[in-house]
Amino acid sequence: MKALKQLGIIITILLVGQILQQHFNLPIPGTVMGMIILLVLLLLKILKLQWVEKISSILLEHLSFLFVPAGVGILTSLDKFKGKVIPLFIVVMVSTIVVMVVTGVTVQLLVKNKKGEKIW
Amino acid sequence: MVEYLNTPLFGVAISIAAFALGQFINKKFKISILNPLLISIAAIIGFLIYFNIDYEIYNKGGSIIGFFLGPATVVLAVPLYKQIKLLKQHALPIIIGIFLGSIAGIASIIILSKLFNLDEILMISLIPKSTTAAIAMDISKEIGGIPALTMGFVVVTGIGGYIIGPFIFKLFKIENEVAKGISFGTASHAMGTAKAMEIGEVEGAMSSLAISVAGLITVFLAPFVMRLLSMY
Repeated sequence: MKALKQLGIIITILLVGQILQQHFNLPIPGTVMGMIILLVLLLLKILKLQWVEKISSILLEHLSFLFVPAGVGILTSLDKFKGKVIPLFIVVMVSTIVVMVVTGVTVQLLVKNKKGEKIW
Repeated sequence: MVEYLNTPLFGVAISIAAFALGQFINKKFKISILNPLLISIAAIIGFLIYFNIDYEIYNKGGSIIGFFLGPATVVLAVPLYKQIKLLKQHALPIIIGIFLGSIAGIASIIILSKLFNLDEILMISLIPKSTTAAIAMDISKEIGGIPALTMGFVVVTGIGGYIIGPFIFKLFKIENEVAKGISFGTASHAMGTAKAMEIGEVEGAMSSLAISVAGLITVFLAPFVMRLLSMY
């Protein structure tokens, strides 16, 4: 299927996700609802992977470019950064390390444990 | 002169040009801090300030590009679907690991923010920072943060994780391939995944899977944390 039709499928799913989010006042963003809907449709084989594969690779390939305007938006809230750059940097780095260590150590422990059980 | 730029064409053109410049510089110097996204954002901000052009004028074009972030978030389901087998194989360790890691990350943000006496709006905007930018900005909006600030934190988190990851794994003796991949994706989304892919195939696959799973977990976790915070 051509990219345009595939984009149509994705936009429609996103629209449904947003309608659901607004109608039920869900705390989940409409985009994430759309992502869940697409995953479910793929898992249930209602949608074939080929029907969305082309548009998804186009979009994901350009994903970081799509964030440029959002990043430029920082311009409108520069005053909130003033004098806070160093503490903010420390918070960002330390919490990133915390996530890495906790996630990594937990997964490693559990995966090894599982292997141990099999030998048992 | 500026009045001629009052068209969506300007924002789109300068965004593409700046990103191309960023990619060129990144390829030439091969230093991860010189990330194309970071360079292009800095270049455009510099340009707008230097020529005294309003953000609103830029954003006429910018919002057209930003529109495609919605569909781009939806299609994050595709890599997740492709790796569903890997996920099923190690489902429990992966989900528990991402869940605990994300909670620890949010807790550390709150504790450190209080410690540094940061404004609440900054703290809230920091909370979703380990998830991928598309999801992070939506979570930020949802819990009352400033999406553009969150976006900045997301980029720094990505680059930080990319650089520091291998040292952290050595220091804490994280050697398992699955653990390394999940850790990269959970802590520093797509940029962490880029590094994970350099390290190995399993690491890369696991990391890209972790982006979607961590994003989903944080989507549910963040409003819950906000409710806890408002309680006390």
